[in-house]
Amino acid sequence: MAFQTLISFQPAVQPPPHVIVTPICAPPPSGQYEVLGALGWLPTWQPPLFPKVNIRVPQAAAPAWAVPIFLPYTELPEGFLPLTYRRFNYGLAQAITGLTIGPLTTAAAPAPTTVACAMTVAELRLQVEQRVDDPAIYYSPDEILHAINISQRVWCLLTRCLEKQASFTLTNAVAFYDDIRLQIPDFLLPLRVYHSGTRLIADTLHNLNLRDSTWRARAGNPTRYAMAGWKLLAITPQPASGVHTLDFWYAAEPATLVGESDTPQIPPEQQIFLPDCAAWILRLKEGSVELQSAKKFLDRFLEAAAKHGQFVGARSQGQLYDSPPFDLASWDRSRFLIKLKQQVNPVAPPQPKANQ
Amino acid sequence: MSLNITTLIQNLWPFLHASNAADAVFWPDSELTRYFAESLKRLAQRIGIFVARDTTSITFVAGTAIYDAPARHLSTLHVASEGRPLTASSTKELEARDSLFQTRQVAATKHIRDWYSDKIVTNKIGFTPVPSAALAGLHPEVIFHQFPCNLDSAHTDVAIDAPVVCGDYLEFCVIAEAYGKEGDLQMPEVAQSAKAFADLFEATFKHYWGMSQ
Repeated sequence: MAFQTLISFQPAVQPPPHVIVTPICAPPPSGQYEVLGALGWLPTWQPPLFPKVNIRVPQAAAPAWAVPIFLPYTELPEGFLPLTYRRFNYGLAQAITGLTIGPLTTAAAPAPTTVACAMTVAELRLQVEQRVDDPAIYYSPDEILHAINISQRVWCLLTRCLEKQASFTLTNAVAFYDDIRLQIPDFLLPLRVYHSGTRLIADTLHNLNLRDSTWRARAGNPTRYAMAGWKLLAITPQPASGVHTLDFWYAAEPATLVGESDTPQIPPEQQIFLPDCAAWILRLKEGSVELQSAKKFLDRFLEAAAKHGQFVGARSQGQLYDSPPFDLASWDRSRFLIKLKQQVNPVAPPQPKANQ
Repeated sequence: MSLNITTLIQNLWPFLHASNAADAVFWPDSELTRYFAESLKRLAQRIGIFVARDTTSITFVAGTAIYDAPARHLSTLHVASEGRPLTASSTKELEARDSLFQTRQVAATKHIRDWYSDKIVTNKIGFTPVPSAALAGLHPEVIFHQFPCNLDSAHTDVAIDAPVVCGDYLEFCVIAEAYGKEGDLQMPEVAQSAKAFADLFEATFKHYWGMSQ
């Protein structure tokens, strides 16, 4: 099978040797199951000692539907192990199904994940899957990758941490450039702009009009620039002859992650927060308690983004960048709090009145 | 690096518990396209992120004071004529200054001084003094807020001229619309969360691109 279910454990703790339990019974209906305990076997194996293992049975379960389950116990003898399962989220009343699984075979523990300085897409994907407790079954690989890409773009938007430098070729006697992205495709915001080593002053079109009514046709080396919207650039004065370029330092959009070995462009120490936002994005479509419980991931992401944004902002002010940073700390995060309606049990008996 | 609505809609299928358009029985492609188009227009109106510069739409005609604004015009930011910025003014102010401001033509060696857009038909720009024969054929420069309206259900045009991160914003707007719609798959908490996330984008856009105009 192309998927497996792992018990999550803390990387700091030495993982115990594991036992692989391979079910050999007929496949149950598709869905997600939870191991409750052993039936008449190993009485010490009761919750909470018994690990909560989620087994997801694929929709198109073949007769050989074996899903290896890694259990952190070594004292299991070889043989069949009857376990009690229940449909996940279905409640006890509906589906306690006894399944016999076995045989048990010992196996080496899965290697703990090592956190590299720069995380690859594969590592980020694994982190996301662990957060949402899904081994890429309910959430497709493309979906997870898209969520990771959104997370990185949001991070760069909120913090402006991805700074780049590029040359922008000027056309003689031209004051306006309608689309700065024709030359700098990943342009987001200007930070510093130089012409021949001299820094240009960031200004507005309104101020340029007030300062010089003929600034649109003023010949000379550029000394001021203005942006309007996200792509309209104006400079004054305009070079009359020769080849001129502007040296743009700018906040950039990150490149879209595609391959499994791609690494995000944000600083490595900040990459650990990308799976948090991605996990919240994935949980979004589920709504209800799943979304509510995933808010902690989004909170962690936004808190980290706010902190890093303040760091970048303080550094920007030190370097007198031309674009002020966004104040994420003052953003009202309580808007992400959701209040769920209380579920009404349709079969619950009516409550007697107090007066009777 | 322009966005493509076809790609954006494909990105949305998993969010809508579908793998393709045939799966998404609650939200047909045309409806999602409409959500995208509306969200894009709302973004243009709220933030003014789409700023365009037009130097061809308006052609001065001698004796004509009022002209159609450029296509997809929302509001005017700056107007210039003959390379000189014109002063934004109001009808009342111009009337107080010169009762014949709508007919008095530009004197020789003088320039158009003001532009106005109030108390005339919507999406019109007026110039005073009125262009004379000497200015006929010239094109004023208009810098204005534009709104995009190129998206339709037939996908005759699929490009969205905006940063990639705007595509993410639009996706969350559409998720909020889709799950906020009354019906069997209405999920208010999802709609609320997606809307809150989209609002975070919007606040950032406003800060970065909506303030220096």
